[in-house]
Amino acid sequence: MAGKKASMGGYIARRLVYSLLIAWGILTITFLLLRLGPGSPADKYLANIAASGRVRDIAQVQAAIDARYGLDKPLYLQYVDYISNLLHGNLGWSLSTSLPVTELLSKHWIYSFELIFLSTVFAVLIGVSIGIYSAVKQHTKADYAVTVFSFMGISIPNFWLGIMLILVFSVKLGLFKTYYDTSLPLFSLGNLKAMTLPVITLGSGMLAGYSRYVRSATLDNLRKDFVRTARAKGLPERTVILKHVFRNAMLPVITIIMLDLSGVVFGGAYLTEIIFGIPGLGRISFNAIFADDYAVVVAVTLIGAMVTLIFNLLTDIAYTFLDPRVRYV
Amino acid sequence: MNILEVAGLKTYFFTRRGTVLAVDDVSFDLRKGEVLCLVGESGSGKTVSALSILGLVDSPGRIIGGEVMLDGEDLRQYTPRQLRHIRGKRIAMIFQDPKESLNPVLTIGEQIMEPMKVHLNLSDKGAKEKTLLLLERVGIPKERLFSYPHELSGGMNQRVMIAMALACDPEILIADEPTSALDVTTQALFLKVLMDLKKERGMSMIFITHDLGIVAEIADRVVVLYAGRVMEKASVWQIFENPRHPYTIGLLNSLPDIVKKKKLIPIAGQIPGLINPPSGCVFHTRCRFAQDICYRVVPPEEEVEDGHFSACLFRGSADIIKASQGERI
Repeated sequence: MAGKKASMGGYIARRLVYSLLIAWGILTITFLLLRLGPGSPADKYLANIAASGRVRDIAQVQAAIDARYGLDKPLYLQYVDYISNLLHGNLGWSLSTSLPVTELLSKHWIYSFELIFLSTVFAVLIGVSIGIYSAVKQHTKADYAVTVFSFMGISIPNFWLGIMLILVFSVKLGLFKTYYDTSLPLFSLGNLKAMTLPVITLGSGMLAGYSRYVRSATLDNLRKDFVRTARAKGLPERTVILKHVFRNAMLPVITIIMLDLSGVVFGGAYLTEIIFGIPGLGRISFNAIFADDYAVVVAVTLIGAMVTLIFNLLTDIAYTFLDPRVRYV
Repeated sequence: MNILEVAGLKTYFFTRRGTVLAVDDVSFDLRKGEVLCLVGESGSGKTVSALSILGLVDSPGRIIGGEVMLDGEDLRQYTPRQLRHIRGKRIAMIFQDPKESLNPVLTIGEQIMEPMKVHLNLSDKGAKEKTLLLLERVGIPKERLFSYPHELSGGMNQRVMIAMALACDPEILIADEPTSALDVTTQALFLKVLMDLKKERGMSMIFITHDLGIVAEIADRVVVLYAGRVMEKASVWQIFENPRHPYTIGLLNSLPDIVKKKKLIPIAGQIPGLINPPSGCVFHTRCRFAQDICYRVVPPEEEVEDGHFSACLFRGSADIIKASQGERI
């Protein structure tokens, strides 16, 4: 056992080093790509000044701003500056919001976290339950109904679903506000209610997907010999399904859920935040892209990459606990 | 005294391509304390017969007729709940491939303890104590309690299966080709452990195999199955010394004999499809003695000598015996 732990520690350390290298690569690519495009973070600022008509020589102002934010330096020097700032925990300055990026992120991340967390809990609990149910009731009307709803859930794009939910439940029925109310305290029933439509919007696609994966994984395992053994032992069918089949069926599903958390959820959360006006990372990154606010876009991309890498690692670690056959050396 | 009586058992599989008559009107008795061997080729209905006893036939299979009398009570009239209390408690079963028949993500200790907790209401502590005794009895070191199936050899896993089957001291043990996945040396050890335990506990046993060597070794009585029907039923001596069915004779002729160095004579052809089984005697398509009448009449089982039943229209016919003995030298 001691040997297992030691090699596991080495494995995690190695994976962390790889993760940092990959994150650095993603950071570099994002940094360069943004600067390849037209426009500059100062553009909007300059346009405002020009529109005010108070300044004659706009070029002079631009030069001043470029000098102030280091935009006049050669690209490699900007990059070196960025990295050295990053190593000191400084993610740069957001020109469009006039705030340090770290402050901007620390104010907004909780909204994304809340949306993603609630949607995932919603999708996993319901998706897994109906997946198992429809596998056990294979080829019944209930199974077919679940199948139809799952395909609807998978096929309907969540931006459309979000808009339709607002139209029906907020506009027509008046059950919810049409926008997300940031004045509500985060841990309150009111806030939970405000999150209902966004969570359904983001969660329904995942839920539908999970129910399909769980259904097929459950069906696969129901056919296994050890299920027959469990039944021959006289175990109640409930135990056979929820203990013997479920534990095996969840192994592949956990990978999907963990990857979803980082990938699909991050992407879907962007759109959902924009539709419902939730001031999360997706929303600020969306605004930042339109304002050419390099520092914010790079920072949010970096966070997305780190979350993905960490979840991949956590998935692999989780496997050593869930599947005794998995060992890392 | 008969502890188990199977009478007129019919188990059909209702597939899209048609109804498979996997077990068609099979009857046999198990006497208290004896070893009854079910013998036949793959697809002869041995396993399905055994599974039918415990009501473990999976969809699309269904038992459509017959009786399974355990101590005078018909298990087919039992509710699923009542049947569950028979499984693992009064009739236990072990299966062909031990590695596949154990749950890969649960420790063997956990799997052996399960039936005790369900049927005997033992506490964790009590179940663990009993499990350690069982492990010791089947020759597995007690520190293996926390091992997983993939950490044990095939032979050890099969002994784990025995320990699990014996957890609640069943009266009847059904062993479905338990040795076919083991190599010869492991097989011998396994059979010794199994037979010792059977004697110790006075269990009755149904042993399914296609290995006539094992039959000669352990059987008291033998049921020869072919294409879902009983061909011959007799004591092990009668079967080997005085076979009274062309199929049994064929089986014995395809068995090598190192002393007599006789010629091996395989049975020509293959087991027929059971969606449209042959008319009359199901064996007529491969029987070298088949007459016109064999195509038309389903042979009834008739007693040819004391306790020896044959389902051949020419049972005991001098011609067949003469012809067959001519070949067996």
